[in-house]
Amino acid sequence: MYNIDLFLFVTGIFFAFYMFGYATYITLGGTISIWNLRKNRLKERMENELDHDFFFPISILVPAYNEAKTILTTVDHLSEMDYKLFEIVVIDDGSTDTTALLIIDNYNLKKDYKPIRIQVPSKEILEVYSGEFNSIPIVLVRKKNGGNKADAINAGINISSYPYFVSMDADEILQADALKYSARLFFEDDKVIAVGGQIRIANGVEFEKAMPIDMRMNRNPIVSMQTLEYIRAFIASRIFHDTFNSNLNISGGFGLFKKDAVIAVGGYDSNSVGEDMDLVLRLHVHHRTHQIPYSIKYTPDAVCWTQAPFKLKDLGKQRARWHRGLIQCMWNYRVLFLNPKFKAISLFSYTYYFLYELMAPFTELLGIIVICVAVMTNKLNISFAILIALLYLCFCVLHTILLYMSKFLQRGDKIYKGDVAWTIFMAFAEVLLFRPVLFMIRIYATLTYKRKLHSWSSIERENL
Amino acid sequence: MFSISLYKINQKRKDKKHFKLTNRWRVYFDSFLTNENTESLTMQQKYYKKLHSTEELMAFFEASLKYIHSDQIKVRGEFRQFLRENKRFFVSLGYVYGKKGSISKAYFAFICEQLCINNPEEYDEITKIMMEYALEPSIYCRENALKALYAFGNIDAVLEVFIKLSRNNIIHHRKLVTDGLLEFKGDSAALAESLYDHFDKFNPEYQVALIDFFRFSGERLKNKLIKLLKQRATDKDIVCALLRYYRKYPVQKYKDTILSYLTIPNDEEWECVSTAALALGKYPGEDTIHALKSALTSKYWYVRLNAARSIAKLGVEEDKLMDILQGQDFYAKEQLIYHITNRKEKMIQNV
Repeated sequence: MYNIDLFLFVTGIFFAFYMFGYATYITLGGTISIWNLRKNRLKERMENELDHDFFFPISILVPAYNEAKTILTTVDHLSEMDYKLFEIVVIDDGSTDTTALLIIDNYNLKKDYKPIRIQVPSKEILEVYSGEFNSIPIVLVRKKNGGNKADAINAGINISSYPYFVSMDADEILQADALKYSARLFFEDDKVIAVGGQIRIANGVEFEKAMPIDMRMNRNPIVSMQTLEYIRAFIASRIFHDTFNSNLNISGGFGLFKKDAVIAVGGYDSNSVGEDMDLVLRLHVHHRTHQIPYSIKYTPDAVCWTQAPFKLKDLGKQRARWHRGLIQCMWNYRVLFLNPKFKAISLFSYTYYFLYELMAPFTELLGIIVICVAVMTNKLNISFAILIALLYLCFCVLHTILLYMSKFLQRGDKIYKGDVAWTIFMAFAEVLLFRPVLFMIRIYATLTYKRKLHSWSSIERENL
Repeated sequence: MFSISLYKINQKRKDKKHFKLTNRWRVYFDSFLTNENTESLTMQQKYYKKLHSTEELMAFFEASLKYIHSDQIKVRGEFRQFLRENKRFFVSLGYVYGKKGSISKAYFAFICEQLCINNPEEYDEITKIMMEYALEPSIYCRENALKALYAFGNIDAVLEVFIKLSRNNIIHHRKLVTDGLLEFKGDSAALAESLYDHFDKFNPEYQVALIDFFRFSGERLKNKLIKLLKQRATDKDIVCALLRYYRKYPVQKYKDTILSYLTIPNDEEWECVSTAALALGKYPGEDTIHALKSALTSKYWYVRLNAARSIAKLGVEEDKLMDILQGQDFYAKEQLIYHITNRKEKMIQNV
């Protein structure tokens, strides 16, 4: 009996600190992020912005594997970019469908025999096609299938002509002003080597010339819950971590990179499942180790719209892959764990990811075990437990709604009337239904880490 | 949640207030501009004091847009007259906003630029205030203040501000500087001359930006800039900028100087070698072809690439390139074949 008491006491103390740490972190993060958004709007209103047609030439790299359904829409939207000088590089990663043919025919591309400089490793490049569409250079690279996005992006880096590149996915819509808003951060600070943008959910959003015209929240519960989740991640977490240059990830959906900096660290790692996070962590470690001044920035003003899985099965596949990628990255860069050499990245970001992302499923599992033990030994104060659970529920819901309301403070965004009630409902549903599902997925991903690390299965998509 | 709701309510209130203030300024301007008596163009003290508030200044600016962009020349002229009559108030405001935060300061500089408070011949208090603002650590404040100075169009002011920025080691991005100088509202040619005359007073970062400005603003300095290119100790970035200048405005008598950059040891300054190789595409001659053929075998990718481009551009016949085309250097051959093929395709398309 003494052992059970001791177990419950120790775990109780652990959970008290764990939850206090979590609540403090996200409250602080949310507050600072909203403060920053408010400041950004003030700057916008008072003309404290760099406003140029273009800042430097950019190559937009679009890796595509069997994307016949979406690729033309993606490239058409890219050609609407409000930026003067850029090229579109589509990397056909050994597609078995008509992805390449569609591009060649639609944009009238011609075979190009230009010599390629291999600066980062990638599978063999078979053919290159090039041409112009609306005076925008379009390049198509056909390569042997590398089995992952990293390999395709590396091929794109090798073929691209410009000193900066954007990495994105083929099923996304890059908002017309995204290049302008992300590129100017390089001008504000010479040390900037990469800029991440905000990823938002495109399901149900209507676009005109690569700008959203109706951003009403999709009524599919799975999509809605992801919308809220993305808002929390891209508003609270990223802006907060950005304030002390310690964002551990630039989402693979949209990132603008200085090509030299990426080449210096060897490009994307094709063995990494979370290639986007891996690259950012490598950039951090490389620059800190060699004491090279640098900055990795994030801007919520540069928006990229992505398709979210709308079926539970697809969501499960995606999240399991993400979690395996997270485990791999956290393990590969364990040098960052409580290492004072890496300052805020180690102390705040890495620790946060370790405790509240990587270890979260185990902590949740421990919580379930503790409750079961307490119930079985009749040690559970039920009314107090319900009170704590309700408090936590209210805290999470309020946090989500607060960040959702911060749409007021985002450039060109607004809140639709019908969305508020739906958001409140979904904020409850998210805590009560979505998080338990995510917990199961994460446990599954952890248990199958070795077996399924490099497995990949396609996700059903809608036409954009 | 509460704070956001409060912010929303506050924002709505502010918008309403802004609308009201803007309308009030419009009525005020109308009352001035319809009055025939020019003496009354002087703004009353109480109105000037209102402009100490940023909200009022924003409303003032928004109201003024109607007159600045009016289709009628008379209205534009009268409003300009009104601004000139009240310039002393803007000088005072400059000091008031100088004590505020950088965001407000940047906004005041923006207003000065948009309303173009000064004329090119004027070098007075407001110019000095903008020069002070330009030394601020905030990039927006600096950029807006510089834009105001470009809009004023005074050469001495622009010259002085860059000397001050250089002395204080405050770096402003070179593209912003070049683009800004191209917006200069005064005598652009005289500005270029003046900046060249004081060239050694700027730090290398600004020198590169200035050469880029010279390149975009015309060829008038082509016989002067060569001096810099002949000085071997010049910074690498400056050499590249100069070579780009002489690519845009080729002067055949300076070919030897440009050629000399193609033969410097690659390891030290391959960027200069590469830019020289590209520039030489505008300098025909046997010696150029010979030097470019040597550059084709460089271990640096960009040197090879630019040498091949220039050879293709110069229209060298294939029989003169047989030593490369039938040689053992695969990389040189690959680059050359690609660019020559491209040239042929373009010629066919043009025919």
